[in-house]
Amino acid sequence: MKNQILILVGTILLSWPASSVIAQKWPDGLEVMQRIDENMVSENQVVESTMIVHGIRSSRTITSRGYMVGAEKSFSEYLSPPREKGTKMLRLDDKLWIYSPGTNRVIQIAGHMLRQSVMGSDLSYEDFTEAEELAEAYDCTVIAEEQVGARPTLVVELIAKRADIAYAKRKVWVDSKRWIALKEERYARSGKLLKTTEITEVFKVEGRWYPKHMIFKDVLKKGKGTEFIIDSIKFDQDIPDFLFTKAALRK
Amino acid sequence: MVILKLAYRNLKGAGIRTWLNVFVLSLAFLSIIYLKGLYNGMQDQSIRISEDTDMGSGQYWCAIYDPYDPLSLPDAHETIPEVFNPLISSGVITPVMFYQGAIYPDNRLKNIILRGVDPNQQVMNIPTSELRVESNEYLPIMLGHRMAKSINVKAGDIFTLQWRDGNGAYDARDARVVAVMTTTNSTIDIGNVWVDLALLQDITRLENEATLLIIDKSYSGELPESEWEYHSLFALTKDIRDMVEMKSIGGSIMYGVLMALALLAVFDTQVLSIWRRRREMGTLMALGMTRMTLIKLFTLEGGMHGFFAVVLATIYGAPLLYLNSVKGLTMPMDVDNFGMVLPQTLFPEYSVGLILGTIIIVLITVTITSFIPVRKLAKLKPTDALRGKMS
Repeated sequence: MKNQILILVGTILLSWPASSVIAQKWPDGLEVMQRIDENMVSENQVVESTMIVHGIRSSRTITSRGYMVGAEKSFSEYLSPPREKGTKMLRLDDKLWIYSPGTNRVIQIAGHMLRQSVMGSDLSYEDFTEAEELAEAYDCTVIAEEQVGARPTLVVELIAKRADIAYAKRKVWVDSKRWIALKEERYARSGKLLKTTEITEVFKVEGRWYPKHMIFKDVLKKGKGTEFIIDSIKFDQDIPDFLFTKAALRK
Repeated sequence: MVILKLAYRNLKGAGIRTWLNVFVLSLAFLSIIYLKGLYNGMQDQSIRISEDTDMGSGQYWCAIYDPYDPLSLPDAHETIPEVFNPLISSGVITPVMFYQGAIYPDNRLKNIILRGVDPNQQVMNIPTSELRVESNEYLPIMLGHRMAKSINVKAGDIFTLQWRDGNGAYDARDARVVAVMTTTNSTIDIGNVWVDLALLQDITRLENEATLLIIDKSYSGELPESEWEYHSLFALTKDIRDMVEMKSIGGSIMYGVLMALALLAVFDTQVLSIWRRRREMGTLMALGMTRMTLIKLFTLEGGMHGFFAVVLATIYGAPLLYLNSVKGLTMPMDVDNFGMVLPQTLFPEYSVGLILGTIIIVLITVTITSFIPVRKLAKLKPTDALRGKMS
């Protein structure tokens, strides 16, 4: 789960190669994405994180540990609350499986279920199954400079190169000093805003700037969104291949 | 003829004991007919509603569509084979496309199935003509009354509709409820959002595609051969028949118990009758009545309980059943949770076959029950009987 979120965020934040028209005074979109890549890309990651799902009446806090290799493979396990503890999620490319200790069954999430919210959050399972590099999928153009909080940012517009890309358009606000995305908006083909991501806190790990606190929001839904906090992150760890198999879900 | 008169007089002579048995038996008899009639009516109504509003006289399904596999739904649409074009143009067949989506009434997510249908179709008895609305601002949609109630919307309300087009890209637009239809068929209501097929094909980029084709129920002409699989109404309604049969088996336990109680009363009466009328039997045998005739007499007496029960049930039951079949039985609870297409008011159907069949079953079982205790008369000695002994 956390890994999935990390993959999602990582995909959004890390891989932004672009190719498009260069605005006169702004850097090339591709260059902006490469800068982000340099800052954030690693061979693999092990992350411990906290997700706070804000419901209408109350909030729930879920902690998890996730392992990610590139953008294609991830494995995560819930650590708390007790009700969710032991639930595991495996993603291999666009395939997703969930193991629930209560039923001791592995279920593939597909079809209609992909639209379901993950643990009541503003993220759907579908959001986790996007594995394609944004740079390959989108034409990136820097279209403006804006302040996000106290930080100067470049606004990068991403337009899907093909019709089969999940979001026809995205906008990303990239910190032009630290080369980390601070905000993102995703749009439907009709131009309707669907989802937003805000990074409200960043931290430096092993010389990289990394998001610490994020807020995901499904704009079409009520609520305050879902907070995602990275408690710890380690790069380039020795992760066994066995972890990325369905058999590992029952271990 | 003599034993018939004798049996009738004996029964009449037994007074209240006879009439109580007859009444209990008639109740059981009536219950069987009522329950069976109710299940028959339930099945017929369910099939009629499905035929009228959803299934037509049959359907063609695209290869991938499998209603029992929700995972097949995202890909369950194909280009409509050209061979169907003449029948579609003449209105005999109407294409329908199922497509997954989500709505956000009051900013709450609800997964739904979009049902694309030609607003001009006449195959299904639902008011699809309400979808004949042109608007650039919103997508006109129609809901069933249960769906509208469950998401708390009414005609005129606007909310966001989201879907992924045929290429997998997210899309979303505001949709306006142009009509809320009242339908007895909950399967086309709950969880479904109706939209103009052409519009659905356009927004999903699935031009000229559909999930299934519905054939008009009045069409009896030839159907074309196609790679799309044909399913007759009989095949499509198998679930309904299975469900009713299952419920009917459950119901048969109840009327089995009722019958058992009534037959037990007849059995007891026979045993008591044989015990109390030992001397009478001896006298009859002394006067020349054979054992076989005696057995026939007592069996006939028992069997006549069944006959009287039928007569009594006809006297007080026929008006009740008739009234029930005309007024129907309005279910006190919501029938949508029954797992099958059902109207709120059920109309039992009592066929001649059902009534005659039940009469025959009752008469046979009562006669057999009456015969069992009488068998011992085959060994009865007239002298013992006259002295009040049973050998």
